[in-house]
Amino acid sequence: MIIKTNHFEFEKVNWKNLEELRLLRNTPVIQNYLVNKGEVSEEQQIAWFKKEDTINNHYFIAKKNNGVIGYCLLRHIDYEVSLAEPGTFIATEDLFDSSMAALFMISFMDICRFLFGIKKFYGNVLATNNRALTNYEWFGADKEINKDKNEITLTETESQPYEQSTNKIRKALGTLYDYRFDITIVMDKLVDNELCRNLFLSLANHLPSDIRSKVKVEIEN
Amino acid sequence: MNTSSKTPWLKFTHSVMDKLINALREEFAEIKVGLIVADSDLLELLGWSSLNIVIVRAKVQETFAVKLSDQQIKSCKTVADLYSLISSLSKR
Repeated sequence: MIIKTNHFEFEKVNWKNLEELRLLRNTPVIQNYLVNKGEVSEEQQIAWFKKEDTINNHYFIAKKNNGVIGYCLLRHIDYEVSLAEPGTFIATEDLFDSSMAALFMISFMDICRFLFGIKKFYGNVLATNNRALTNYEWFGADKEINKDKNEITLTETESQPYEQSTNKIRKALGTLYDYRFDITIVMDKLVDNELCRNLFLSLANHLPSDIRSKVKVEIEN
Repeated sequence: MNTSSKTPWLKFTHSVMDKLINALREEFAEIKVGLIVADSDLLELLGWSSLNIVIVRAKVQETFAVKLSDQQIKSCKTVADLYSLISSLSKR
């Protein structure tokens, strides 16, 4: 299953591309930003994915112009209260601190917000991860410092919801890249199991009409 | 003596610089107005996070119809450098 938006492709992690995610996760660039460090072996990766709850946790390989640029995740989704932890990880150092990185992050956050209907975001980041902290600062998140673990928990505040805090940046991205929330979900019957297909069809079909009109679903094979 | 009345180009450059400073002040309203001046260090003032780069690039494009790359933005040490870059590109 691939979600296409703003010239990015977010390819949902499945048994076929699981190794790609492991290799990305093990790169030194990505390791720098992980709270849980350490390389993951093939066996560990397979064991993890076998047990993974694929309804509440979603991982995506992120591509641009057919090249892998990193990965994203949306995990620990609590559908009842619409709470979840999103994350974007760039593996290509050339993209660090670039406007393309901003487009990438906002494009994925939009998917989390509008397709998954997440109303409140939170994240656990390393206290040394200045890029993530700067971005959360932009979003006006509340900070809670966990000194023992050298982590900071950031939570979106009700006074400054995502739509409001990102309004300026989305307008600027519109000027530079013709950015918009407009997605195509491409499902493949041979790759995506029924559970996955049903989940995404259900998400798409239950969207408010103004957002539904911006979501196209294609089923191949 | 009013220099700008004798040298129209100076008046022009001042007004473009003012326009740039005002544009930055408008976008970064959380920064004290007095801190955004011609010799302000852009990296110190804004930090070149991906989000701030987008804001500055888009604002320059909207205000001056000049398209800058990320690298061009990052190469500007001060507001005055950014002004010089915009001026040089808008003359082409």
